[in-house]
Amino acid sequence: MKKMLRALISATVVLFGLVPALAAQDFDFKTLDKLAASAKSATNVTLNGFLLQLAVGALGSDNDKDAASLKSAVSRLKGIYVRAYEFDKTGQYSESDVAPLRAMLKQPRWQAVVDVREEKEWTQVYLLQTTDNKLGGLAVVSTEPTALTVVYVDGEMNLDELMKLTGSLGIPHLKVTKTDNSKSKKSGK
Amino acid sequence: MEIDFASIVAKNQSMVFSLALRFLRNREIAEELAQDVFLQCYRQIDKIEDAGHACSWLRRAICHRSIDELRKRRFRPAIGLDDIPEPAAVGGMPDLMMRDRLRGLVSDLPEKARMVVVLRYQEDLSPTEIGEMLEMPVSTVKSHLHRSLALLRGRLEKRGRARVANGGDIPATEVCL
Amino acid sequence: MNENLEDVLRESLRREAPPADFAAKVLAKAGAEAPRATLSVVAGNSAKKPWQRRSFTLALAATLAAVAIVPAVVLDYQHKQEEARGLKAKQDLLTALAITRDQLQQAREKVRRTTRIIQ
Repeated sequence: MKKMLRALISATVVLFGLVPALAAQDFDFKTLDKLAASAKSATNVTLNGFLLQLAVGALGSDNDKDAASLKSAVSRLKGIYVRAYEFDKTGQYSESDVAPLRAMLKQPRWQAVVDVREEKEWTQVYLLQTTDNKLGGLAVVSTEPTALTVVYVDGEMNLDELMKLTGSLGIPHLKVTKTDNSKSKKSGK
Repeated sequence: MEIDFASIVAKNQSMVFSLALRFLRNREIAEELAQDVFLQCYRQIDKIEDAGHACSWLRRAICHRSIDELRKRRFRPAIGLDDIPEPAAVGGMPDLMMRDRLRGLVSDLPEKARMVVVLRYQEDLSPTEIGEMLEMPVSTVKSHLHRSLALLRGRLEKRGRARVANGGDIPATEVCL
Repeated sequence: MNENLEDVLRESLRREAPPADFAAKVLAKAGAEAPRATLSVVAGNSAKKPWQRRSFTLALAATLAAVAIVPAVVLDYQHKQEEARGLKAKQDLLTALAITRDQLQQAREKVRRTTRIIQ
């Protein structure tokens, strides 16, 4: 009896221990990672746990204004994941590669706040609301004929602080697609 | 007058190491070269008159040794100054990665231009002092400075995708726990 | 704008300190070479006791430094590894943040161009 009880307690602990881990692992990037092989360029960032702490710590001293602003924006992050691919020609990835991700974002805890289609480009922004009505995550899925970008931010990030950060952060801006307004379509969702 | 070699090392180690590091962009090689230069100074200590002379001696030595080292190791060739894009105003606030990026761009300059820029902005030397150190006419020093600034400005302004192929400005990274 | 770039260049190219044991290594190597009598030009140097001569002092300092170097080198290696990991992680974080920011900006611009926002 005692052994059974112990086993039951262990199983429960394991299960509850798994829940937060599952939440972070909800975003399964396996279907996307294989796209790197055929991409012209690939950016792949997975930062969580100790490595994320190391990164935040390496941002600089709090006496540095830029570092302090950045740290303030990301201090409550649990993880940040980016997959960004650029391809030579169309057809090198398909909607089925992104479908598992989109299916996951249809779960009730994810709220779509932006869903825009313009010609062959589709951009979705989702926010994750926690049980206590706080922002628990952010996801961006952006598809173009020759490019795919997925961003998943796990945890709280101060978006106002992030958007305020001026300059290029040392990285060139992504190409902004320019679409003729007269040709843009409304989202069909 | 007594020359205290240990004191020379203590006072000048940052300057010597940094010059090599900013020029060669490799910590291990910079450290090795800096040590060599100090040893070279030690061997010729009878020629050193005082602390000030030691500083300028070391600075000259590390500059020339760094240039020689670059040629010896056949580092990745730098872009030519002839390909300078049209200068544009630098906008935006400086930030952490901007500094990293600038250091990278400086290390992409041709060797003489690179050394001129490092001596000007790390050591705050005047064009005349730089010219004497590198045995270069002042007009050439000024020309290197002018063109390098224009090039750096142009490169910082250059727009493009953040995601670039391996070997480009930002390599593909994969960091997983 | 030139002034701004020059200021940023000065900040970017600010001197960086060498590893903590750099001076010790240099002194150790110098001490291992033949002592330089001309290190000191104080008159009457040869009349000093052996331990008073600069060359002796230097050799002693070098020996002591050499003894201290070994664990310091190991620690320094570990520190360098950690530092490199931290720098790479920082680079990755900044890359990710820049992409996130740019994606959100692009989404905002696209929303402005179209009329449908799902709430």
